[in-house]
Amino acid sequence: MGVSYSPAEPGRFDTTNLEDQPPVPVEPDLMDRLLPPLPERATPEPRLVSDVLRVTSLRVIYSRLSDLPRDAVLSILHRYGPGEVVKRLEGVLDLRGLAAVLDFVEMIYASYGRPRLACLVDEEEGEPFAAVILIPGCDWEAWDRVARHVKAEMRRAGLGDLASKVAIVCLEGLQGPPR
Amino acid sequence: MPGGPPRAASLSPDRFLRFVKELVREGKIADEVFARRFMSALFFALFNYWAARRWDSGSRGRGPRQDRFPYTLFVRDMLSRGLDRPIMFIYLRKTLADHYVLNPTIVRVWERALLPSGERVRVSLSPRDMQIALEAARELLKGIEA
Repeated sequence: MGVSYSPAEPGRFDTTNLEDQPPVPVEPDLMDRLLPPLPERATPEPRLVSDVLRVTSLRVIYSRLSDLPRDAVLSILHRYGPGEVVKRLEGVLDLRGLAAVLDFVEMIYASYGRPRLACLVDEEEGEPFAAVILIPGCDWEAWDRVARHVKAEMRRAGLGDLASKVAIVCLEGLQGPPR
Repeated sequence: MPGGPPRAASLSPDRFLRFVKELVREGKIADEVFARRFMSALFFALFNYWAARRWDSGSRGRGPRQDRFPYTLFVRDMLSRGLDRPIMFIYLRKTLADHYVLNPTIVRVWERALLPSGERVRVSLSPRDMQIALEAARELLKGIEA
């Protein structure tokens, strides 16, 4: 099917030569009437991978972390816990996966404060067997919800094995439900 | 592979949980020794039952009869099911009950965890914790049997 083109008649609006045309009058409140109001947005907090990638999926965060060199992954983990803890966890679990989960938790649950990293040690053997992601401002009720959500997200991201080696602990929730 | 009769039915903690609940309800947890022993027993009753179910399903552990399972595997299994809250609540207090004199104290399981203020995380064991632990134990039992 052919496309026909005919030049605009004199006085009609023509997009081929804008400079020669008279300005079109625009009502001052036209944009306000046509566009919905913008929602109020919270001031963005600086974050690590999530800010750069603008994603909310743990799967995508983990995928992108897989491309980073080991030192970069370690420097991410050092934001959350002492080097000694990171070193002890190295033989226990996938550090890239752990870094991805920490970043995901910080991104989704930023209002609870930055998560901290520790390790669960077998009291009898003295060896670490799981990582602890400690969330500061999270109470008893939120604890269960957050843990189940993060673990479900880990399974969706193909990190099911890691889910058994990471404990989500809410600091305020440690005292039990409110009295 | 060593065989034998099913073990889970003999090691179901259901009656024991009801027994402890009754003691707590009647205020018979007389002192900290009672609280410590029952807290520890809650954890190991669940662990034994979990291990028995694994045994019955054909899984084998260590030891001459291959019937010894590490409790760390039990904790990990609960974590993988998203039962972080009940297992951590009980596990931390069981550790305090079995291995530490002070209450509250800083248990070694996460001695390197620092609060934003720089302090270390303390764990305590109180009479109220027994009630919460019983509810947590029920959650875990449900998860084990799911």
